[in-house]
Amino acid sequence: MIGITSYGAYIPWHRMDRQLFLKAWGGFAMPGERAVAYYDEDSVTMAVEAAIDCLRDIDSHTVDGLLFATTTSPYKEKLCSATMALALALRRDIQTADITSSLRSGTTAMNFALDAISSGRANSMLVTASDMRLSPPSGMTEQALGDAAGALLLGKDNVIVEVQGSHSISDELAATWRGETDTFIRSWEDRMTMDESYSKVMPEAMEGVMKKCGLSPKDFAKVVFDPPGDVRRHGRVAGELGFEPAQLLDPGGLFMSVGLLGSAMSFTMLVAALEQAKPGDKILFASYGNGADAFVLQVTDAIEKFGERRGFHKHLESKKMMRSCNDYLRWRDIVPLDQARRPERGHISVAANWRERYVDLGLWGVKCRRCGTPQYDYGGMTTTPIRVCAVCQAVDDFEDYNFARKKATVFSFTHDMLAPSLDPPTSVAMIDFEGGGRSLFDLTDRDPDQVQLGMEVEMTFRKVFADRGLNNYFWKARPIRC
Amino acid sequence: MRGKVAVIGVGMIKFGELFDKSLETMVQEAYLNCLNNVDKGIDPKEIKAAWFGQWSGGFIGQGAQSGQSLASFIGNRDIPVTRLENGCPTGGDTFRHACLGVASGLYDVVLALGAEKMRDKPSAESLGGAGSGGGAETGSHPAWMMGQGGPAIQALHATRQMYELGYTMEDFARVAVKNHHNGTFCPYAHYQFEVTIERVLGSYVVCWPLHLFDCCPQTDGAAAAIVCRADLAKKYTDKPVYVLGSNVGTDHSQLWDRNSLVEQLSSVKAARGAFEMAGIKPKDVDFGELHDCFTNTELMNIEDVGFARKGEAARMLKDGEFDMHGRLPINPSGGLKSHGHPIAATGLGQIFEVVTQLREEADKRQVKLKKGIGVQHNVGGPAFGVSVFNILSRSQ
Repeated sequence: MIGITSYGAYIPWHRMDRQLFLKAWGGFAMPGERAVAYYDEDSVTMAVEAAIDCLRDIDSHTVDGLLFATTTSPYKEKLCSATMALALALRRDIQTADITSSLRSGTTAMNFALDAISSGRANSMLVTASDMRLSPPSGMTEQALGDAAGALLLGKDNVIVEVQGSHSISDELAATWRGETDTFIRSWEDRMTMDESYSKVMPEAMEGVMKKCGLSPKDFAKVVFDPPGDVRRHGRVAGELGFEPAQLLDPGGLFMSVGLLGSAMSFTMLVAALEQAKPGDKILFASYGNGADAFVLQVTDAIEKFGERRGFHKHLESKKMMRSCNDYLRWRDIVPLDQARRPERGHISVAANWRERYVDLGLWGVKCRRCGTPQYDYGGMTTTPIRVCAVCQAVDDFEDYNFARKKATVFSFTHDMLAPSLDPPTSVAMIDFEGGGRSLFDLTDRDPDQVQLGMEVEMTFRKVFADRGLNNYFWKARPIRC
Repeated sequence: MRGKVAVIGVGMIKFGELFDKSLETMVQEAYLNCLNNVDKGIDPKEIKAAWFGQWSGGFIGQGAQSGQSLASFIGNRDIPVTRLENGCPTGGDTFRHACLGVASGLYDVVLALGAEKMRDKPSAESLGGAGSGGGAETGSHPAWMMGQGGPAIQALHATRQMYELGYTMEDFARVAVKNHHNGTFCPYAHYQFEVTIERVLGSYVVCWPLHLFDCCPQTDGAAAAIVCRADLAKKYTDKPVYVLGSNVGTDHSQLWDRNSLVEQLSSVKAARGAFEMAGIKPKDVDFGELHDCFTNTELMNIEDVGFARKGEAARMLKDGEFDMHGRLPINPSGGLKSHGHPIAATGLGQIFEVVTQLREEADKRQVKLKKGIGVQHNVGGPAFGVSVFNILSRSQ
């Protein structure tokens, strides 16, 4: 049996009431809220979060491949999944690939992963879909979009959702696009693209897979497929296919609480559905974007023993409402800002980043075999071997020790008003890891007034800064999210 | 080294935002002041070696200043000159190395001079750059978080001092009140005005819990000392000051490796070694110039070098024990709080103050001498893991 063996999701902590757009720009506000990635997040960091959620009780060394699906890769050239593989402590002898440029890149990647497993080339494939799309300020699309990520682990063992069939359609149409020099997405008139593509292609794919599997609409407990720009069209398509409203995972709820999530939409909706699913449920799952992919899924008994995930609902409930539209513009670096008189950032050294890739991206440290002290200073994964223990002076006697999944408590902290930041103050915390080891990290996703000594924190993968098109990723601490 | 080395002259310039002075002019002014301070006079050619404290070349955009810069600036290119950088203790350690040069028997008379140009950068940029270790730019390393300048690091200490020792922001502010008051009597101080507790606590927060007036300013400056063989000192001056003890203490270079944030072991070790060399105890000291880069740091220093038990400095300060006319005056010059902290000049500026006090030439800020012993202390570097402690006395 091949199918989904685990799932995870991530929704940023920050949400924006769409009324704030009205206050900023005038005009009209759509109802509800949208999810907004913090200034130190991007599609890569959100995908890492969803993947960590997905791998919560799973040995990362059992994963044979990682696919990163997005329309908002930070790079035109350079593999993001290779960065993510280090953050997730995956093995080195695995397949990594970025599947980009389409809103259905998530389900495309899912198909590739299923093929790799059925061919015997891999036993377990991790597929992430993550997006942080930018629309020109003051438009309706800016209000409609949202930032999030989803992750599915596909494999043969402990399958919680069997994939029983799939069907794909390719369709050429520039419904939304972003050219090589574009910062913001562009789109053609809604009604034309929905009439001529979404409303025809989505049913074609879904009917195709139902026909392949000999099923009809009444056989499904749930139908999960992503909506077009105008969410109302989703219900019309479902009705025309013969589905009852009760069978639908209504995207209206997601639109009202997080927004349209780009390539992460389908995975996030599926995770939301699986959190409610029961053994034996059949799910029709589809995603649209220059064509469509559709799947017939069957929930197995194993879902009852499936471990705890933050998934969709817990992340949804844990939130911080933003103060103004200005914060959004500042975090996205959309408007030129007065520059603080601060030292220039130095340029990234690719040599230093490469040398310390396990230390910085993987948060690997060492544990002294003699005195037993976990240390995050340097070393780890034998690339830059530490020779002398900082505590007991033992020589060449260490084992690798990972801090990324360890909880910690705040030993001391400060809120730095001087350090340049897109959301001052820069909160800094010295933290004590459970099991030993102390280090200093920026504190993110925090309310400065709530930070106190002894507060429990966890590690989160973030973008620290960018230089000449290259992102420096590192870990920060944050109060336990949920 | 005890008693083998004597200070025969000290000189400094008025610290401040010296936009009209280059590193070269500051060095020359401090040097000439120092020569003039040798009361029986000295032929510059008698100086046989020099140490040049210079922390950051990056700030002036002309690269690191090597030893020959000082040789060239003072027009004496026939002597060995070594540039020394050792974090915030650069000045105090430059003095120590000059003393080592004499104590080794190699030279009879040597010069220690430290100078720093901090204000060719806007003040916030200068302070931020100071946190990065003296370059003109901050960390390119992914693990370099922006909140790692001096204020943030000391704020992490202050947070723990409040938690573990029960210290308050008011306690910290009292250090500023005392040192600003002392600074009004020092013609060399950058700041020469009083502050109140209310003004300190009403100034904006730089790094919580530290306010603007908890921090020393960004300042340009230069200071120098001429030291010689103790047995030759009377040839140059009627009032030689002798070096009784001198030491550098080190600790972890990463803040997170340290067990405690209410104690800086580098200071503890520096002071302990210097007192051992001098053969005296902290109670024998009349006054001290301790590194008050931040107000909370002064309280920590007072405890770390042995003038108070841990957790008692704040109460003793409140009781007036560290006032200019208290039991043990701390920073009668006004300290870094009033003078600013031109890194390599700071320690030698403190040496200037200690020598001036021991010669009883400190005018309105003159402290009462009992045993005639004063101390100079710096602490800094990454994670405040390096410290220097010098003990000076008017008797051998």
